[in-house]
Amino acid sequence: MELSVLINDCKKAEIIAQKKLYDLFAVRLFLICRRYLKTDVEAEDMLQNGFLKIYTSLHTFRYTTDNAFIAWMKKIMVNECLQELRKKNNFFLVAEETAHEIVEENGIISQLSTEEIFRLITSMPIGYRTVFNLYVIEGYSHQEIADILQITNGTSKSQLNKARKMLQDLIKNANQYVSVNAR
Amino acid sequence: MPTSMSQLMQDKIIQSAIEGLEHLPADIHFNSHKTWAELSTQLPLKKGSVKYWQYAAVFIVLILTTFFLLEHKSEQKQSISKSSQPYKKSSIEELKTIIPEKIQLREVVTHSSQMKKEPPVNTDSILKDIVITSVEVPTPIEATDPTTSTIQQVSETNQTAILTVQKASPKKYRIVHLNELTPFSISTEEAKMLSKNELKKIIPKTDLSETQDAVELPAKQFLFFKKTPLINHTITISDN
Repeated sequence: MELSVLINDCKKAEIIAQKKLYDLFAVRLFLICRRYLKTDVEAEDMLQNGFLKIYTSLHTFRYTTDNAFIAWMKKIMVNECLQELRKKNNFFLVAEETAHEIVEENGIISQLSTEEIFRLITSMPIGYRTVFNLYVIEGYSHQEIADILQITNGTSKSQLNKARKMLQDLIKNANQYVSVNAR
Repeated sequence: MPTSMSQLMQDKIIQSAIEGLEHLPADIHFNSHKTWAELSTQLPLKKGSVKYWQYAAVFIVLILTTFFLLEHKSEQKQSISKSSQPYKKSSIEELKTIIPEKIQLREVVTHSSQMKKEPPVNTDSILKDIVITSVEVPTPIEATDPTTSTIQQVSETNQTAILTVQKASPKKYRIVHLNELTPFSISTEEAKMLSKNELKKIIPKTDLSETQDAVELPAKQFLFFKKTPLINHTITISDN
């Protein structure tokens, strides 16, 4: 079934279509929630809330392309997660610091598998990974992140740099662990 | 390559890797069914579906009501058919409890002797043809209900039967029992010589009812001659 037809059926509140849409995107959207939240249970709760919002506000969405619809759903999920993080006051964002440029070691990321990258991101502290997720994966600017998280532009930058540094360290450690095991 | 460019490249790699991830990593657990089960309970119902449920509820209520009524009726029928005994006074007492109050029997003759002579009555038909209980009334009953015609027909039939008996009886000879006969033999010649009055003197009087008892008529045996005292008053079953 085409996604546009499915969306129209969901707009009519047909439960079968809603279930199909859920089955189609549940895992992908769950992984988004899991990138922002600490536990699987929290991510499930946010996925539930996000889908509820999708179904209830679907009448406001005008279908143009499949990618636009997927992006719309992702945005809803991210917003739900951020709301939840704000509720729990999980941001421990440090005061504005001088943002140091992190020197990138060439090709270090490309050596990792997708699952390993995901695991590294989720292993970072909430503050780091929220900014990292928003900037690197979702594609927000620092100003947008600052507006969303109600922090300064500089704090967003510093958080991102710290996240990059941490990620590199994690990758290095992981590589060392792998090389030791290989010997 | 400038640092920013290399960072940009790195970001692109990470972004495409994460967005391309469509299956759960090994240490991540997601209970899709549970989440959907909880989600589906919170989903707003379709407008049409609310109406559908309302109609369904009404339909179910109607079915249940019909079923209950049918069951109630069948129970009543069963209880009546259980008591399919000859129609006696005692059975009337039982029927009093079985027959619904709505059915009011206005005129029912309850004379015991007449009741006993009734053929066995199927109690299933009592409810419908309850007027048959007044069959033995030899004279027409003034009935106020629509069953009058039935009563009249039956009572007329009785009268006909009685007339048949009365007409038939004079034609028959009286029966003399052997122990009542006198020693001398009555030959046909001697009998011819005797007049009717003399014969009457010789032959002791016999009870008319006895002679009539021996007579077999085509009419039904229960329509008999001993005129039982009529009960002019009528009572209802409920009064009984």
